[in-house]
Amino acid sequence: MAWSGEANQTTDARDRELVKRARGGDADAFEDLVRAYQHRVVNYARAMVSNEADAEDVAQDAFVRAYRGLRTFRGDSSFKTWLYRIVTNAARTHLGKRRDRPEQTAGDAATSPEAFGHPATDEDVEASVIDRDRIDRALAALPVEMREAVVLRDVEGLDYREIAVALGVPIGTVESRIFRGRARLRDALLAPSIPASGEVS
Amino acid sequence: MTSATCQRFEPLLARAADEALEAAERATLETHLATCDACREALVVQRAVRGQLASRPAVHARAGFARSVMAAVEHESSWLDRFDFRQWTWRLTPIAAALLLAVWAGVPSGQSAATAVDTAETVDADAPVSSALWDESISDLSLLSLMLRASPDEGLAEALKERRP
Repeated sequence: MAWSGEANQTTDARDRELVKRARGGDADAFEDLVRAYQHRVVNYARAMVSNEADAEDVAQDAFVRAYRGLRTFRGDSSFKTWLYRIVTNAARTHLGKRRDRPEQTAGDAATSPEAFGHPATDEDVEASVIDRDRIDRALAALPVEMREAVVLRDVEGLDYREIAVALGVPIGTVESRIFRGRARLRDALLAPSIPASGEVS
Repeated sequence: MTSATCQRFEPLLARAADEALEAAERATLETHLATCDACREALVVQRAVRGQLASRPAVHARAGFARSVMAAVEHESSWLDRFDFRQWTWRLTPIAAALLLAVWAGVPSGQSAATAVDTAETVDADAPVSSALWDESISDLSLLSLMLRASPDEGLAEALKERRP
């Protein structure tokens, strides 16, 4: 889902125009923004909360928050980055509420390789869905801060600067969270033996 | 990846897996990797995990999701309109003005007291309005009228003007 620089500029200009119109009360303009970002927002929310129904709730909540906060959008960052920050906050709120319920969280049995290596297989379910579920369960085992950074980088394709803005932390913190998050996912996502033959490029 | 030296390379290793290093950074990292097995392995892991995550099949919003969002937004905006403080401020302006006027008229200010004294030259400026109760020179009708007034101090001045002969 990585975006090229030129596409980014075109998209930014379009978004600013739509935001301007939406601020003026043009509901169609805000709907255009929703349609432009709905798949990204749902996908990010799904990777954060590991549940499709909850992901839709988070995504909808995020869009409503965005609408409510349109007047506060100053344009210092792109609308996309601003929206990702809102989705991040909506997901945190959701995860905070869910903490009271007994289910898989960081550090429980879901971190074992077996939990991810042998997902419950339904022959009718497509392989891609199984694969996504396996990855999302692995992500669910990460601390939220690491999960956010890793998902924004490796799933959503944001660059480091954008992630820093979306999470409200310095770029160095983003780099550190991504490094450690990926390292923690090793057992869950990779085969047991990895040849140590790293080259920089 | 436990030594302090290796920890310093974590940011570079993360970005090396993204192919996002500047030339100078790449040279620095290569120098370190030449002598560090742990960091070489860490880089392989970074790339492999990144590859797995990048291959994750994306979830798409269901058909009709945007309409659901807009319905929620319209519901939200109707509430926002109801609590629009500017609208409320505008509607409450006459009431606020009336209240302000009532307060101004009901609380004697130094200026109004001074005016009363100027008008009723024979009355002590510090005399409370209740002193009229014992002033037999004020008629009953004037006293009743005085007590019913919103601004008794001014009333007192007028009542004193109408003293019984």
